[in-house]
Amino acid sequence: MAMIVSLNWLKTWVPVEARADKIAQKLTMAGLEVDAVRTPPALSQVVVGEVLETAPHPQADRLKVCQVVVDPLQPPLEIVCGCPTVAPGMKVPVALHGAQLPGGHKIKRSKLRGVTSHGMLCSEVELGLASESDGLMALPADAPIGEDFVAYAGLDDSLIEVDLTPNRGDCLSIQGVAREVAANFELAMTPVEIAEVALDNDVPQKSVELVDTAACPRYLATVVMGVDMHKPTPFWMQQRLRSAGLRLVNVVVDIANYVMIELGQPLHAFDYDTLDGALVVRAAHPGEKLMLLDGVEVALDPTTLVIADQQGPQAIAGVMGGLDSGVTEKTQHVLIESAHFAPVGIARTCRQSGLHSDAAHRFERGVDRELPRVAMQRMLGLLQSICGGNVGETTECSVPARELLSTPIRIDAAEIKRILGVEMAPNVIDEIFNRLALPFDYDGQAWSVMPPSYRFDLKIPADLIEEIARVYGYDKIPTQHLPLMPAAQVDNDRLFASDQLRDCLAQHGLHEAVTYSFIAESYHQACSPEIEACRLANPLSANMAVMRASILPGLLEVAERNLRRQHPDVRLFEIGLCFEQHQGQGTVNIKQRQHVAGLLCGARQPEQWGQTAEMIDFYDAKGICEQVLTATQHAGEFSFVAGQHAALHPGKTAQIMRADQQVGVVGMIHPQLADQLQLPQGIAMFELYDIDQWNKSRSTAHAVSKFPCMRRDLSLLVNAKYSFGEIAGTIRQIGGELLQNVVLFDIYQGQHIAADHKSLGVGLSFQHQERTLVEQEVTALVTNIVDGLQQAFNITVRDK
Amino acid sequence: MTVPVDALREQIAHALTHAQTLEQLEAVRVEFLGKKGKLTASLKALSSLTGQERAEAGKTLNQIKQQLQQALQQRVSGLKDQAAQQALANGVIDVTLPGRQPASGGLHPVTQVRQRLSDIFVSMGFEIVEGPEIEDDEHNFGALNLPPHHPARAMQDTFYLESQDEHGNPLLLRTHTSSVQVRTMRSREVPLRIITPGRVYRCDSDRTHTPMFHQIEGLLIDKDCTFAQLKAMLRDFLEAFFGQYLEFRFRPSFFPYTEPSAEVDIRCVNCGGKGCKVCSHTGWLEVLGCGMVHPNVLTAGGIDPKEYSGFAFGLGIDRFAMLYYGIEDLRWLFENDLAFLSQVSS
Repeated sequence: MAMIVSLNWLKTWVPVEARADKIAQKLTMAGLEVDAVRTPPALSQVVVGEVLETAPHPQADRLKVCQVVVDPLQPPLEIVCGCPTVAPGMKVPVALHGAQLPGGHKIKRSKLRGVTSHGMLCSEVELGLASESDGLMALPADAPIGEDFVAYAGLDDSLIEVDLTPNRGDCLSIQGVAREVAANFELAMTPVEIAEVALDNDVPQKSVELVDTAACPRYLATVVMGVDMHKPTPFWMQQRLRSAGLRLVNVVVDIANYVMIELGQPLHAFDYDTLDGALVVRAAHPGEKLMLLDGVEVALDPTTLVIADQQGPQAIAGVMGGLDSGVTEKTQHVLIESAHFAPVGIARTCRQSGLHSDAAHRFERGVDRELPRVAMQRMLGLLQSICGGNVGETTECSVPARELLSTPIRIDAAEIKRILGVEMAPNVIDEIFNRLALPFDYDGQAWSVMPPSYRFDLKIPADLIEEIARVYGYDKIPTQHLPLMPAAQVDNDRLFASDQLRDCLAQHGLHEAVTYSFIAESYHQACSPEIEACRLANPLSANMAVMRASILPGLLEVAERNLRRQHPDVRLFEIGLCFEQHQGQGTVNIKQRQHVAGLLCGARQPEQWGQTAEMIDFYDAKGICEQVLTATQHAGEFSFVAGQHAALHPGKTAQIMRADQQVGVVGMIHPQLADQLQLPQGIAMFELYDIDQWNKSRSTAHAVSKFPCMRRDLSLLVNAKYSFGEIAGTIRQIGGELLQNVVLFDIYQGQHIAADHKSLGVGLSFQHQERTLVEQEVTALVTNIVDGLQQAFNITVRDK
Repeated sequence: MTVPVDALREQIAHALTHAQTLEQLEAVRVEFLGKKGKLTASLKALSSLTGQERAEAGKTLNQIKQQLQQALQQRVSGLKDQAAQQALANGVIDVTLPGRQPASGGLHPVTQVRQRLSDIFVSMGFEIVEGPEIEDDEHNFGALNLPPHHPARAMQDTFYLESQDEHGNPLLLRTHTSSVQVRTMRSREVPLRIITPGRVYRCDSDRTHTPMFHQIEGLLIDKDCTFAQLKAMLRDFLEAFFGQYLEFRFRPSFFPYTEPSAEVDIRCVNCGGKGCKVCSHTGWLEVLGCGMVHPNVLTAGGIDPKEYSGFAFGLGIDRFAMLYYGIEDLRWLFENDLAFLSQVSS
């Protein structure tokens, strides 16, 4: 919530001459970030007018022809008006011929159904003062006829919108911002004069009991009898309230709000006659309820501080009043509350109840604990001068004064230099403390600073260092190079490994995706139903409610979006943490492990001439897994075993195993899942789990054989039930050390061979490390291999 | 016998004239120079001559032979050249046809910018540390001078889990990577010079906020570590990242974990400070938050604030990616549209 500061109002507190943008820049550089400066609206030729008489329009039922005085010395103007609220005697803003209204509207003399209208009577909407209104803007009866409306309404003003950080609750008022302006422009403040109010001893005094003095260390209550609720809120006050972004309520509430904006102290007004007996500031009792001012009934939590009378709670302390005890048009006597509530309790109440108000916003951030008395005087003075009434003696309940005293903060020049890196002369620091109006003693060694009660954010030396730095100017603090780091403790293997993995996958034609770590429950069930998910208590939506246990859901969603956007060839990967939860003894154990997953579909290569399109299949995904696994330090230890996965085709899925531990999965999408997600069937996916356990391997170099390599190709006819993995295993086992490589160059199933058989084309490469191989020994080895295959798999060698 | 030299010359000339191909030239060679060739036969017949006659005839025939051989060689190499030229002419391809393309992939812009940022910090002696994304209240808030109900907690709308930690507080998704700094302070010896990149989460979603985003935070703790050093380090970092000298300003701000705190603005890299959409017409871009580590945070990290001081800083990787690539809408980063990813993957 920003604090909107009227420049005209500010100038009554501090004689600043600078333009609004210059003030804004200074405030920003002093740590009060200005979000926007709003300059006066583009309004001209609008004056205060009085409607003398109205008559029906001869040609139109809904229109009225009004005689309006806009200059006491001139005859009235004839103006056609469509607003039903227009009435004789009313004072309204009148846009004359040639007037300029916000949004570029120009008003011209014109004929409306045969009657010439010499201008326009305006509502707040037309003047750009409000976004809606229920009729013409009625001006006070004493508004001077013919006066320029902009000047009259105080619209020749700039509004400075300050976005305050939570530590600067003291600046949530004109007074607070004025202090900052005074400090930064080196000006003296000119605070508003607050007169003592004459007391009437016949007015009763309300007795108040503070039960929880930690939550409410100070409470002031004053009764005012005979308040005239029918007095309008003065126009100047209305304008200032509007400028601050506040809505008008009734005269008493408006005055209370005015004092809050002016001084920073939230006040509350009760209808005195609705209160029964003494007030008690206490925690709510279990089961208590309160109908709030906004018409909503809330059940009160026992941690909530309330203002109660003998009947029960009448207000949530510092947050919002109750409807029944609120001030209305019928109110005759009021009780004004000016109190100090501790931030923590207010913050807890707001968080728990979801309630929010201007008062709570200030109490949460802290309000000057010495302010209630001053604010009460200001309130009573304004109230009496505007609405009359007899003011009674104020009841004040406070904890002993010493408990409210702050302790001095000691700081020396060496500490300032240690943190800021700049040497400051004592007189420079004196000067800064003076500008901030911080009382201090300097004993030649150190400063002992007593922060004023409104600077409750200053508690420790570091806080003073910040004050010194920001008034000195952050920009004036010199830069100084870092010393070289003594031996850096670098062990970035794991992170570099995941970046190397990223490069590896990108080189294989995959694009890296980054998807949200939270997914929909349905996706979790589709991909990892066996895992107990970590669920969010306050998700943004049901689609983002479950922490992912797998990256595949995110990739499926991205694939779906890309296919919908006519990108048929999707090749994606993602690396990131996945989450699962295990019930331990009394606590939950959360596992957060880095996974990598990929998804491929569409053509194997981009569409191009000279190549027929081949579609991605299982083996593309498997090949990528193999490339990734080869880069780990466990390269030789992985195997692919037919297996199952909820999201994958039961016949086209391999579990990736290392010893007897599953470390990943690869397969084609389950046809049912594809249908359910309206995705094509040809989607290959893989996921490797907990990749941080595999650091990148450092390859070891071996001597390369200088002797020729001999190759023999075999065409093997075998029953299709035997997997290539088994057959290759047997070949390698028999081939021994001399068999350097086994390559599968062809697989055939079809009309030339038996229906349940397949033909495998296998190339065997033999090489000796230290000599040239002899023809006969290779032939003998191949014969052994063929014999072994015949025994194990009933393989026949086909003629080539 | 007399040698019919003139006839032979005539025949040779005729044959050479009519031979157009390598085969025909070979035939000419065989016809005259072959074992049974006409010229060969005439040369053999010289033996039947004697004396002066033999010498003259021999000389003439050898002359013819030489001329023929030369002529043949010339014609053959000429034809071979011609053939080679022809072959080259036949071998012309359309060099404007598209080149053969393998499937191309690439790294996400957030990764690329994270790497660029990390590289700069690593060159300044910082070490990269990562940590968990599901955190407890203590590491995300408590140890960072953010006690329960602190109004600054509202600055970071937090996602909570249904599960609780051993103190009965709900677990949460870390709202910043400062939690990793806490873990590092508690587990390692000072001096420290670390950066903590990673995903963070806040319960907020609109045009300029996504509920998940990426941060790099940095922490340096040492004896005599100062605000002046923080300024120099961040200036050097920003100039290295954007590859240009920058006008920048340090502005007082507030973070619960630093005191003094600052926000760093740079002159808009898009418009040079004239004011544009990227800088919301202010001429400045807010790029970093930083400050001197709050004594309470050092204490909570097991470090004596009287002996050591430190500075910390944090920045949004996504924001830097947007500035670096001119990305207009934050949400593009998480849509993963392949057309978008291809643009920025090089």
